Amino acid sequence: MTVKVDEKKCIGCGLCESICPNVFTLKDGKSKVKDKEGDKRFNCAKEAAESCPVSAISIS
Amino acid sequence: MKEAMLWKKAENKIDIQCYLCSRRCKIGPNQLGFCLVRKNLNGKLFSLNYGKLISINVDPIEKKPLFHFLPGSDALSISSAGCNFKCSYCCNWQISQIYRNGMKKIVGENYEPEQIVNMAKERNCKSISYTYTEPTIFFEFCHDTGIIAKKQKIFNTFVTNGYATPEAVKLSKKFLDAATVDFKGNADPDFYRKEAAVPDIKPIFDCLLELKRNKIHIEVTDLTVPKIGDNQKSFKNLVKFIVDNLGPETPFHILRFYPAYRLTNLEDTPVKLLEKEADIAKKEGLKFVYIGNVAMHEMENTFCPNCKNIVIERLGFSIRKINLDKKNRCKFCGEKIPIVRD
Repeated sequence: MTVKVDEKKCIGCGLCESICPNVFTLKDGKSKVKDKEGDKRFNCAKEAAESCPVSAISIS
Repeated sequence: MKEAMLWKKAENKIDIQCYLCSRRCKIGPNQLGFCLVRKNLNGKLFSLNYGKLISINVDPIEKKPLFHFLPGSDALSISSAGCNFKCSYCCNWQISQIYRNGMKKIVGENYEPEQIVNMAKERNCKSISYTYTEPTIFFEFCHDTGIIAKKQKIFNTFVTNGYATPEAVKLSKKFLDAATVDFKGNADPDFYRKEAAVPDIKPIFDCLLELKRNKIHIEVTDLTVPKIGDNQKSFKNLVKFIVDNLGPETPFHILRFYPAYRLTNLEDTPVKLLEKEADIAKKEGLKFVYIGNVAMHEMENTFCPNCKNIVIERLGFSIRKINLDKKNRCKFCGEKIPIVRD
């Protein structure tokens, strides 16, 4: 399973980082995926994806 | 639609950085901010909802709540749809979350700032309140209306979640006289993250400090939500922050939660819990503590901190009696009570 952030969509609001800090981090004002696999922390990544105000996070 | 205030080119020179609210969204070409009402069009940020009002009412100013500012007066209360928060328990969710719930076009009726000021005068309102949703959602309209109102000696007040940036507060200084800053869930960062989609609450404290620095009258509220937003430690920290930074004379309103929007599985906040919190707030040094959203509660009155007599007696949002002389001194003991009256 892979977590991706579409940088063009991301507005850098920091919500995903606060919901799931193990997977997301803000760098240069945009969200970056620290851990593409997401592995055990997948649940919070999913929650972050659902909460993203601009639907920039995809999980496949 | 109108060009927005408080934005700049982002460092990557493609996006726009909005700094009206503390989300500080970086907005790409043709994209919207978190609020869904500010858009990057051809490299400029536009406020899509300028002058589009969704509600206009005459309210007693006590409803805001503002208890120490022009008591007994009416406030023309206006708002535009939308919000920069996403509270699961919002009592105005039909208008605040309308864009998030799928509305594609901007809603509201067109008004000019002058019309609003004239309406306030016609209806004998001493103030205009930017409320119901969040004033930063329609900041440019608040700004333009506020400046005209001020010239005509009408006061301006915000009811806000406190997520405006210090830059926005500085700009508001030109017209803003008072602000009710609403905390949610006892200022517990976890509650904010889970129930309001707010990553960090430090900006709210920064906003309060900036309001104070600019000598804007402040009243603070806190909505205690049973089970998920009733953390006593964060409540105490909030009270301490107010005492230390805004002063013990800052009016503080503890508000009862009632089930709304998506949080309908919880009960109303027990009144006993609110009373317990009010005791803590008083013990920590706050002189004017109120309990709100509870009908006929004794703590909707203003008590003299010196002699404990009632100096302003309220029934709901109406004033029954004011026991203050012209210089705002308690009629029973002479204690000066900090109340703004014109």
